[in-house]
Amino acid sequence: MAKLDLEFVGFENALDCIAIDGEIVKLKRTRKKTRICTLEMKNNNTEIVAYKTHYYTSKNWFWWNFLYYIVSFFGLFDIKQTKKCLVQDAKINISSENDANAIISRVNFTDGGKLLEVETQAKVEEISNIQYNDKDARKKHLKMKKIKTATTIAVAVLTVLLIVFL
Amino acid sequence: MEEENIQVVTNSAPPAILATQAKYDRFGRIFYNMALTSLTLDLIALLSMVLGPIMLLFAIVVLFLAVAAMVVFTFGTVLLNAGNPASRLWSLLGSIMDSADGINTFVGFCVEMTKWISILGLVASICSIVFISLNNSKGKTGKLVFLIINIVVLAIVLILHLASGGQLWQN
Repeated sequence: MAKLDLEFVGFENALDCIAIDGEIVKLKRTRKKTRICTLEMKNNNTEIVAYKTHYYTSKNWFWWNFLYYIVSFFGLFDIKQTKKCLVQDAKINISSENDANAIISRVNFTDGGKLLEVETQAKVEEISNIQYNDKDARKKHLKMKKIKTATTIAVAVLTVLLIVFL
Repeated sequence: MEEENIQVVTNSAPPAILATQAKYDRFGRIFYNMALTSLTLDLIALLSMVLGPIMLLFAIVVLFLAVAAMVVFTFGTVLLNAGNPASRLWSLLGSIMDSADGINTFVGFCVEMTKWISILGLVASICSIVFISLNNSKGKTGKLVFLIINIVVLAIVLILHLASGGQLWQN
């Protein structure tokens, strides 16, 4: 099996995770602040997925977000979510019959621009390679924010009324 | 035109493994925040135990009143217009803050809260360990070590509290 040396540049806290051949791999840090790994290519082909998204992608996005809100005591312990609903989505196939190496760099954000730049002598097939602000998700985010605020106010009023009347 | 292009290019669905990891990560971070907060509150309580009940009163009252004041003053104005319920609420608060008995009751309440905060912190720490272990997030080992220390500290506070029948802080 052919070996593939991968070097990821600019991935410090940039993406949630990188999956190689469907598995999340542990990348070694180097002194140059890049991340490296070596792997054996199955059928001389390797699929690399770099993906970061917001929490509004799933089918049941409302219920999941409401669950996070309730579990975190009405958002008190929840993580801070930025207003930008950024999606970073790259799926790349690298194929080579011989040992190869590839330098995968993260490109600075431009709405609708490329996410990854690949430098390699092997054959590269881009299935997707994009980063953008999701406008639909932003609408969902604002809607969710209003629902959370209304729920918090309702619960607070109910609590105060219970204290007063009981 | 550009948006259409984006929709076409981004038709690759997130791999299931990454979507699940994102959920684990979110839950892990929520419970981690809870564990961190409960540890902070319990350390204040431990410090107060060493320094005496007056410090307990000072430290915990300030902390809880800060949160309570926010809620009360936000909705107090609304309730003031409602007549009777508001006056009952304000007189209740007034009587608590004015009388020595009221302050003792409040100290008792804070001590009781320490117990529940410890229990909540323990549950949150265990949940956080589970979710962080399942997830492949950065700084995993450091977080797990912190959570184990957290569990030990919270367990000590809880054992001290239960062993003294809640009287430890009041002596």
